[in-house]
Amino acid sequence: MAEVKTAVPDDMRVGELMRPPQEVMRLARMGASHQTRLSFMRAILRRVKCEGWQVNRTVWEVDDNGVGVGVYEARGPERIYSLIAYANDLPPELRSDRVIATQWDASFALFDGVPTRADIDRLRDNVPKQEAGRCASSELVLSRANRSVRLFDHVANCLSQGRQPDVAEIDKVGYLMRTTAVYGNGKFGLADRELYCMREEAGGPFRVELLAVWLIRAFTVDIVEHMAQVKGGANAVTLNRDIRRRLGVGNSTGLGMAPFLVTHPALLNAWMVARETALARVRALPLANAATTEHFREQLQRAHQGLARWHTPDERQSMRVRELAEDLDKLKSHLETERFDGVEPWNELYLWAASNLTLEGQEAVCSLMIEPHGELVDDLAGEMAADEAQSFVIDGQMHTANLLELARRHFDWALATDFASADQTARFWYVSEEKLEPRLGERHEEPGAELEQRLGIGREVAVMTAALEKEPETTLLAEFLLRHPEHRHAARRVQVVARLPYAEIHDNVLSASMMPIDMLRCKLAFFGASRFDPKSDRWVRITMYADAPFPDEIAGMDADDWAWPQFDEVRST
Amino acid sequence: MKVSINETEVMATKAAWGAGRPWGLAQEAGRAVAWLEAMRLPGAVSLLALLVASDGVPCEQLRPVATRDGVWQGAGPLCPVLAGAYISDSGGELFVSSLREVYSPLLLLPFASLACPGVLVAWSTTSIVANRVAASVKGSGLSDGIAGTVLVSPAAASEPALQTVTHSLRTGPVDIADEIWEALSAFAHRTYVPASESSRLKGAGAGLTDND
Repeated sequence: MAEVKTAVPDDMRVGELMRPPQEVMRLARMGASHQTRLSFMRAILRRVKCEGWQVNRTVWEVDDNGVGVGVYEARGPERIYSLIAYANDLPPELRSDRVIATQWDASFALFDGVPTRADIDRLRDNVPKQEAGRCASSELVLSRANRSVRLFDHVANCLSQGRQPDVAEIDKVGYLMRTTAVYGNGKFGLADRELYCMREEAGGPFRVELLAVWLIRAFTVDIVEHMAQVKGGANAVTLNRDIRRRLGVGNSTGLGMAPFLVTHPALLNAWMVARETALARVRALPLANAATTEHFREQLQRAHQGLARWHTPDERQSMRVRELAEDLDKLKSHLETERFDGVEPWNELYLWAASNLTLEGQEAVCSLMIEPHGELVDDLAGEMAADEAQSFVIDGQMHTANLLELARRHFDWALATDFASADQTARFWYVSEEKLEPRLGERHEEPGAELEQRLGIGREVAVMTAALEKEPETTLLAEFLLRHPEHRHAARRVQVVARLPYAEIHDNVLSASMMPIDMLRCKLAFFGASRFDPKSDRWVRITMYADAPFPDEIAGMDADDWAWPQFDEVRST
Repeated sequence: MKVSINETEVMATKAAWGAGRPWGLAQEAGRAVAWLEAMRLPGAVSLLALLVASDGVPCEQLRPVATRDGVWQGAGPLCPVLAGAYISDSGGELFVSSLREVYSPLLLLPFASLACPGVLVAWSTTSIVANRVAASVKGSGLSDGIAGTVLVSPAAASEPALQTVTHSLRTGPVDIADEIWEALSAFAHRTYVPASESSRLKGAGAGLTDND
């Protein structure tokens, strides 16, 4: 869809229309997040297209059992990044998406540059072991994936017999392989982010991790076509491109990811500010032009029809998907008479949504409203990185009375919480000895709470506030913290949120009613994930890059029109 | 073993926490060790010596109680992370200070040099002039386990000593001796909660088949 220049909104008005942290930083709303055009996968593919990246499969040494290695070189204007994929023949009894697994159907490293034969051999001894192996600073990302056995076998069988797979079967699952952890930033000896964060193409959040996932998607199709070829010989065919494009990469994510948003306050703030600024810019537009309103209506239609492909057996989420469908119905009825000719027509639409739709619906409308305004908002995708170290240092020259005032202003929600009640402290976050992964325990039923991770920021601030109230007002914070180092963490968080207002979740993550998947969904939506399929309150399956162009077709396609399925794809289901 | 800077910071933070430092202070220890190692100065071994020497000692006994007239003194030897955090909190207000008895004095350096444009940190065997990204080290006591008196004072970045830079900030990976890494891991290990059958299933919320 061509974009037409829109009047630039007034900065002051944009500021006025920013949704406040009190509204945006609630877990219920964060847990209803949808991808937007600022999401990282979208930004990556815009760059790949715009800069004319070339992707070539330079190595394919896979045997008839599906065991071997493939290398995919992604060549950008400055550098080459290579995905090295090790394929395995995994017996079903060993197939587990959990971190406690020790073997996978495939394992991957994203290599900085072009690997030599020695690199491929070195990594063959380490990458398939994942957490138990060691990488080097020449590797940026480490990941692994398991087959969706049902769909993989179906597709391999069909292709081997010379026919295309059943589209309905493909849509039921959505991917051939499901990744679990996608590690970066120095884990297991990988390169530190500092090594590449100054690079234009790699400086944004999760750019190298999600570039790796896009290349993994190509591998998942290559390996299924390989197996079909082994089985069917001359009868075998390759996947039809339109069917192939429906396939994303799955991901199964558990609690390991949940603390991230709490432990990266500056980054969370940067993501939220970018998205909220994009929304506020659109709402502040004094006029809506025909091209953008038409684009909006078209994307709404696609989003609505695309819900047919959002399958989840999870009761809560499937109800929410049904409600979202009803919301989008309501929106369509509302739009039948809407001419977008009022004062600030997008703001009117937003306000209508805010008072008529569920949180799922409201957040979907935000995403849809931002969508046709690339020219107005895409610069914000470049402002979503943040260095936590920049906000680490405590200003100890502040008086304790000032810190107390900041705590009351920014943590009013926490100070109003009764942390003496069992419900409000029902949970504790800990790291398990067995797998060194974050877990969630029941404080009043299980041992280990004395070792809880410091994620309950609200409670820590409440405890510090009580101590500050006993201090003379003119005590220097440095003096207070020298006597009370136990409040150092809370003091830092209060000072951070005073500078970065979207840095804190405004909910108690220790409460009995807290849903960890709300944190997961928020983060994954910023990645650009879709079709959230919770498997419990603490882990979720998603699909990444579904409907996006593959490396071998992106040059000839719109790289930025895949957030919702195309009409013709929808019709063929 | 070769480790990334990020792994070093995570390990140092967990180890300090495991040794009983409050979380916010343990984060300071992690950041300090990461900076030292990135400078190719022995941060990990210094932290280990500190944690071993002060294991089980409450912060109350490790902090300077009198900080007047530039002389900092505690009930016993000082924790350089506690004292360093105080230096850091004081920002540009750093004055000439003399610290009586300090464990692993090298650990004061990152706090002072990140808070001030240029600093001098010196004890009997060693003298270091540093800024955020470079240091000039003289002497042989970088890994001293304890120092009688440590002088911390501002130094002009143009200080002649810095013109002979011996250490500068670099990216990872860094080499940390296996036995040091393992000893830090043992402190970190104290922060992990042993698994039970119920936590295996409930804690991560899984337990379903993935053969689908």
